[in-house]
Amino acid sequence: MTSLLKIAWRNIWRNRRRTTITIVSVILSVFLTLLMRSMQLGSYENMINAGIRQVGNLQIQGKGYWDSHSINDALVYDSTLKAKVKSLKLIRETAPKLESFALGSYGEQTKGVFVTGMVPEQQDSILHLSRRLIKGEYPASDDSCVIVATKLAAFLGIDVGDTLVILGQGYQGITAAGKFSVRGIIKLLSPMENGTMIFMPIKCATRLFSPYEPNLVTSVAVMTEDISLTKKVEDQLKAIIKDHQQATIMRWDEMLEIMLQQIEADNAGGVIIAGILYIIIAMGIFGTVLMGTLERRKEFAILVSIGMHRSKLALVVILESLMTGLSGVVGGIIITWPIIRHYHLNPILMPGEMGEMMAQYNIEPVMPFSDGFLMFVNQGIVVFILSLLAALYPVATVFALKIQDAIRS
Amino acid sequence: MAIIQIRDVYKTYNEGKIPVHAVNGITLDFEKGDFAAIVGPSGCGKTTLLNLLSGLDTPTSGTVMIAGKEITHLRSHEQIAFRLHHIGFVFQTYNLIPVLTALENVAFIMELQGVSKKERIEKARLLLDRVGLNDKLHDRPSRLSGGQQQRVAVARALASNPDFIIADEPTANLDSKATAELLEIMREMNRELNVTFIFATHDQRVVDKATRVIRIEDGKLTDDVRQEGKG
Repeated sequence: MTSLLKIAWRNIWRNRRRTTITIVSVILSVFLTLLMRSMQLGSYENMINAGIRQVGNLQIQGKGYWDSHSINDALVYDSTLKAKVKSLKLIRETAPKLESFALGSYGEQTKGVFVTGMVPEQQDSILHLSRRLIKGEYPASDDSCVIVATKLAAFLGIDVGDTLVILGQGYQGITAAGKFSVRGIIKLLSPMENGTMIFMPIKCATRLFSPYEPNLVTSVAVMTEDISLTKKVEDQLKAIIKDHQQATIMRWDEMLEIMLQQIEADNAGGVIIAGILYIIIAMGIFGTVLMGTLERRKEFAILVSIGMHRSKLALVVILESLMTGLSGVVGGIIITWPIIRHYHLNPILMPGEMGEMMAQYNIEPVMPFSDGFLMFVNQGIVVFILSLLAALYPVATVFALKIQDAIRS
Repeated sequence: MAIIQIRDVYKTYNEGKIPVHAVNGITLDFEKGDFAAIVGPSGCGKTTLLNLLSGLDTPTSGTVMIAGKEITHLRSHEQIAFRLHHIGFVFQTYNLIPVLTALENVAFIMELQGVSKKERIEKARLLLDRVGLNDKLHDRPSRLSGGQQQRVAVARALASNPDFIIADEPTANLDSKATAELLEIMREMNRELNVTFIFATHDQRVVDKATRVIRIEDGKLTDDVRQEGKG
């Protein structure tokens, strides 16, 4: 085997110029493919991370709430259930919310609003809401006040210190009505959210929507220690809630289904471009190996004459193809790795409108590069397979070789 | 005892509608230690006969037995294995593996036989020393003259301990000096190791050195003469 490896390696360098051109073309293709995929996968990771920051890795919800978004499908998150959830060691944080639609009114203006009752400190640590305050102060848990999104505040003509009236329907049909002092004005990134959102401490929201059921929540976002633990924590949570007829568990990928579909559609375009680059790689290797094989028909015939089995000869041809392809992959990875690593650690800041648009969707306005190990392994596997495919015809040539004709040639 | 027995062998090629009898009913034996030259005009069937007795071609009819084994019905991979262990080859155009050194070329055939690395390197060095190339062990064929390459080819042919060596026009590309040296080496190996050499040749110098001359014309054996005291 050592000799076969030696022969194959030396054979590919018999025509240095041709092999160099082929390997350089593989290096360039791998370089372009890796850069492109790294940017794509990095931006997907960025989007997914932003999505998970919004909804949590998992949510405990009332059954049917995800589809109806009705407070009547909310969940009673009592102290027993809360204690069981808190006892799970893989959970980093839980963030209960009580959300509902209502009317917000100030002076002559009234508008449909979306009220989110939350634990202010928790939401701040997850979504950094306090950084988006443009006026006033961020509330504490025990405060009885609201913060209003900028566009909504502008529509209502309300400002910090004014009193906002909220009127709506609470849990199980009760009237939800209250007056709340505006503590701050917040600028949200999505235009739709900026025109409708009102935040208040969850205790206020409970008094407003569910004064007779103080443990009511519409969702409890669960942040795990690591995204890879999601499934494990989901199983643990399912075991906890199995006796709660009301409760259900949703994973982030179920809640962000539309975003994942968009990513999948976008990814398909990237795969097609990568496919084109792979075809270039395959043709380059195929051409080199085929020429190398046809030029050496007589040599092959001599080797079979003196006692070398065709299978061993075919193995040499396959090794030549693999060595050519894998040299290109290794070269491509060596060149690309430092660039990808650099931009993984120092993502490109997205300037101008692009950055603003990303920010509006709560996505960090940066272009991080993915440095996932699998991305590099996949390159190796794809080129390995392409090299094997490129060797098929030359191998067939070896097995079909007519010894006497080739010796006479 | 005959090491090769060829019995009533025919080889017919169908060139269009006209059959061409390249070998036309030859019966022939080769003894261990023969240093035989097969001669005849171009196209008389010398190379075809060599191909038949090396298993590179199969006869239309007749049998070829080598060391008591009928080789005409062997399957392709069996023939390859048979050649590896029983037959050595020296070609007109040397045909060494260009990417291997002289030493590696000689050792390679033993690697195919499964000989251990230590043993094959030792034997390859010894054989190259015997053919006068101990100072060229690590040179690739492109750095060797035609005569030197052919000597490496002889060493390679001997490396597998074959029953006989087939040499098809081995001196056709060599000058007089290189031819004389090569023939001397082969004759020496023939004498010392009792290896059988069978040449197909036009070269009178080879014929002069041969202990047996077999003449073929139109695919038929026309003469088979032992030249005692030759060589």
